[in-house]
Amino acid sequence: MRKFNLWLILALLFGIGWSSCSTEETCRKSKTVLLGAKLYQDTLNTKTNQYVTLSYKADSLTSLGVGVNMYIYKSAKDLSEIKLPLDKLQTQSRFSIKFNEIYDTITVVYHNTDEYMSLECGCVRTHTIDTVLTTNHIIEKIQLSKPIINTTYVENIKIFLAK
Amino acid sequence: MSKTLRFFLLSSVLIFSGAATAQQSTTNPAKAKTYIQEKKDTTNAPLWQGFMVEFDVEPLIENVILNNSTYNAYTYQGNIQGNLKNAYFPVVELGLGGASKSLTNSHSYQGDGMYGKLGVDFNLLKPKPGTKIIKNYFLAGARLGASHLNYTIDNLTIANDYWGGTEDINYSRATTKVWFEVVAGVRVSFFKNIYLGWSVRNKHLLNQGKYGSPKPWYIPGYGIGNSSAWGFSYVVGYHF
Repeated sequence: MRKFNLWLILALLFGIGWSSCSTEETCRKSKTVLLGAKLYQDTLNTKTNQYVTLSYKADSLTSLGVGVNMYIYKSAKDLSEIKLPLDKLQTQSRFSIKFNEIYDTITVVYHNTDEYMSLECGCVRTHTIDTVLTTNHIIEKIQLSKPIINTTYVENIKIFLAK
Repeated sequence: MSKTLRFFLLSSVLIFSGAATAQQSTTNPAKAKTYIQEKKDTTNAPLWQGFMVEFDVEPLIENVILNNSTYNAYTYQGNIQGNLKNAYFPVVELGLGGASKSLTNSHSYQGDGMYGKLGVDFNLLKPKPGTKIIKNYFLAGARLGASHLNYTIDNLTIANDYWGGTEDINYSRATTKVWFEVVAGVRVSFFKNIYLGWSVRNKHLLNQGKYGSPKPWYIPGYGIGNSSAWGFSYVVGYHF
């Protein structure tokens, strides 16, 4: 009977110890999905007399979503890249961006995909860019680099500013 | 995890020392008649040594300890294990199980299903020819398991922090999951044909599903884990 008791106690303790390993409830993964945009400007290389594309730092940059009364960036200085949140419940987002007192509007057209992560983390809605349109007051053109926008931050678009 | 490992090693040592003590005591002529033994040479043991019907009681213990208002799981598992020459133990395991869980972020899961496993164990205790067979086994083996289950995941919220608004996503799916297990454990003759034993299992999921697609949080027979999981079973069995 003593041997039986020992078995029972060991099994119970082992079961408790084993079960206590798997009670994780916290999501430790990033769920932030942002469009990454880097600023560029074509600059004349006086030695070669050719234009080269260089990274551009805005003296002052302000950005907000059209129809939203909340700034994403407000008079931010020395920025060479920006991260913009797309509207997860729509398939088009418009951003008003002010570079050194000149406004432009960027329109991003995309489609959404829901990615299940885990029960703890839930779902994340990622986007695939179809088209990017812009007004051309100071922005010369926009080039699509990587259309997929997910939790890994990458440069999705290149914004070329006029000289 | 290291505490669990330490405890596993400690319990293994204690259990094996208990088994060894039982084995030694059978060599004492005064006590020999109190143990059920086959006085046969192992080299001449017939192929068919009968079969064992076992029921896993570990989930019942775990349910009592872990179940609460936010987590509820159940499993009923039994198996039939043949005994070939006291060395090879082909086994069929059948069971049903399910789980429900609610998280503080309002996500909830509910799933139920059935499962089956096929495999074989090998007795690693090899008696020398001419010695008496003690019906205690140290088993190691493998299983191939499959589970078919229906599950729902509710209230996964897509928060649109900057633009405003939220959207709830609910999934309802049926799926079949396949995995293999590496198993090790012991069986000790407790009283006449009644056996007690435990085993530890390392399980590896073979079809994890497409990245980004919903996955069952709990797979009956497999447990919790995206690619691998550990399991423990404590069985009571009867040898026919």
